[in-house]
Amino acid sequence: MTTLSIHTAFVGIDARSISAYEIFFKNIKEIDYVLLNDCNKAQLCLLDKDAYGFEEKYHALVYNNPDVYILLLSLSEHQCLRERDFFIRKPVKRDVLQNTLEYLCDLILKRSNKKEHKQLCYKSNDSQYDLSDKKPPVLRVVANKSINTKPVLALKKEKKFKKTSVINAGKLLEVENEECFVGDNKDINGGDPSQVLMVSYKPEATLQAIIKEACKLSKQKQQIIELSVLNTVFYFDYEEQKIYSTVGPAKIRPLCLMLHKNNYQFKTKNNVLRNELHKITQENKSNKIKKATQRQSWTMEGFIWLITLWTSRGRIPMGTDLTKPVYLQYWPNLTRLASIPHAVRIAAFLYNQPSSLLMVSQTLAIEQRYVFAFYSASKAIGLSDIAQRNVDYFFMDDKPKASKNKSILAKIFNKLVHLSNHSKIDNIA
Amino acid sequence: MNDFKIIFAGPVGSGKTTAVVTLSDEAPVCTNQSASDMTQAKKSKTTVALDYGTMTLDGQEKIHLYGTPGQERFDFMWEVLTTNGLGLILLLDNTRKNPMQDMSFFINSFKDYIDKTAIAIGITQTDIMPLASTEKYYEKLKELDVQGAIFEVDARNFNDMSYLVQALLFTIDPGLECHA
Repeated sequence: MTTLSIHTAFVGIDARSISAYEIFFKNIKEIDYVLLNDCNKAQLCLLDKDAYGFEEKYHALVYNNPDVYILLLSLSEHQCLRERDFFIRKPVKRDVLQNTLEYLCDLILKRSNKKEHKQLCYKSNDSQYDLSDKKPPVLRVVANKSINTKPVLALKKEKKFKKTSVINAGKLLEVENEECFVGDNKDINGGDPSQVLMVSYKPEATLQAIIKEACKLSKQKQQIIELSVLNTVFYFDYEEQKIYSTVGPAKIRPLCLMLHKNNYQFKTKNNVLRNELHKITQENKSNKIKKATQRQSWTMEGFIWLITLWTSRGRIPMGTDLTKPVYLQYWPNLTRLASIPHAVRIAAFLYNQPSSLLMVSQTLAIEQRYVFAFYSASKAIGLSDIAQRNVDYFFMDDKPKASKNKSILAKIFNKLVHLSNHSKIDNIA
Repeated sequence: MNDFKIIFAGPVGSGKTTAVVTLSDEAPVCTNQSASDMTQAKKSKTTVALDYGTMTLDGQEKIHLYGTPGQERFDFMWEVLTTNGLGLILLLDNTRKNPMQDMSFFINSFKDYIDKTAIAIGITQTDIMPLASTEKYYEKLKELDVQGAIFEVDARNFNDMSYLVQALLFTIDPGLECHA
């Protein structure tokens, strides 16, 4: 039998504790935990939050190794910022550590769908886990009402559809790693404020808000604005509606998962810089396949759309009323924006008539996270918002017009989706 | 069995022939001839009758894809082609002198057909003449009292054309349930 291995590293943990963990890992027979000195090459990192310089170490790790799963250990409560962050409160209990590692291994080795999970229940008030083998194989997390945080264990997707055949309906193109764009939140009861809170996020202090501020500055000053965030530099040229980055998407996405306070700065640049920036566009054009780390140019609209998707991950801006109608001023330029599953269906529905986000999800039998992601991104580029006109409230529950040629339209659609999924997607992100 | 059609319209050089070739299952029939008039400045060959391609669906039904001749002197063809059509794909060349005027012309020409069916608009050649925003096209569309999706497209790119046709389908029936 082949033993599966996971590259593991420790950050901020003293030598004596590492020895203890090594003994613990050696006793796990199913998985071979290969201990590395370089945390940037690790798949899993154990990080002591109470260690000196934690913030720097954490940000450097996430920046250099955005795909890493991090297990944070601390004496005090911790609110996880990333989907791949997990937390155990110290003193670490053996069974808690073992079960968490099992879960993480499943995620890392992508076995999560093949293997039944034991139920883990995390009680946020006493930070203890209860383990029960008797309950159904679903991970349950007791609601954590913190904003911009993820409960200790990621919510396991519990997809429920009336008809299996509708799952991919309108999914347009298969989007790789769609959780990065639309998250993995399950549908909520829109009437329960605590559940609405769980799918809400505050754009303030995120890269999304900083980017919008930079665009606004460039517009006001009619100059190129340089934005530096954690050693990453962006240039905003409102006149040409372009944004340039010194790194590619692989380095930018982790920045969307962090909160930024006083770690960024704007500088006004001379427009002479524009010629230099044009070289980036030329480089991108000449290289047909863009490297994920390569410096790149983006359209302003496309970049804001992308950053909002990475930031919101299937959530809505805080304060959005899910029962009020939402309008779509016009269709987003979907051929030049990062793909969201079901975007064409949602756009057609909302462009036809304002409707509440819950109604869109219900009528189209689409998971709410797709609708929320579409709304957040459309709102960020100024195409969508809560309708203010009284007339929009009168028609919000009306069923959309139906064609007598439904069957043939559906067949054309399925043909296109089938062919799209078999052709190479030039993914924007 | 009903014959259904999707019509591709637009000015000379906007990519109608290419779009039909991109979407068609089989080698399409094209009636390109050497251009003999001012069209020659735009491209060496032009469609004089029509472009024709097909998409074969489950159950062997066929969707006929018709590219209309771009030159206005062949506009008598347009009415014949639109009979039993599902909708109109209008392609506009962003490098032309006044693409808004083209849009008005074609929408007015096909107005009755659009009112009965639907329209989706693709803006082509944006790699040569970049498009900052589709907003101005939407403003014109609103003036013309028509609703539809507008995307930047490369007629050679299947995914771009697929998006455009899908937008047309969901404009016809936003609640369309599809079985993948």
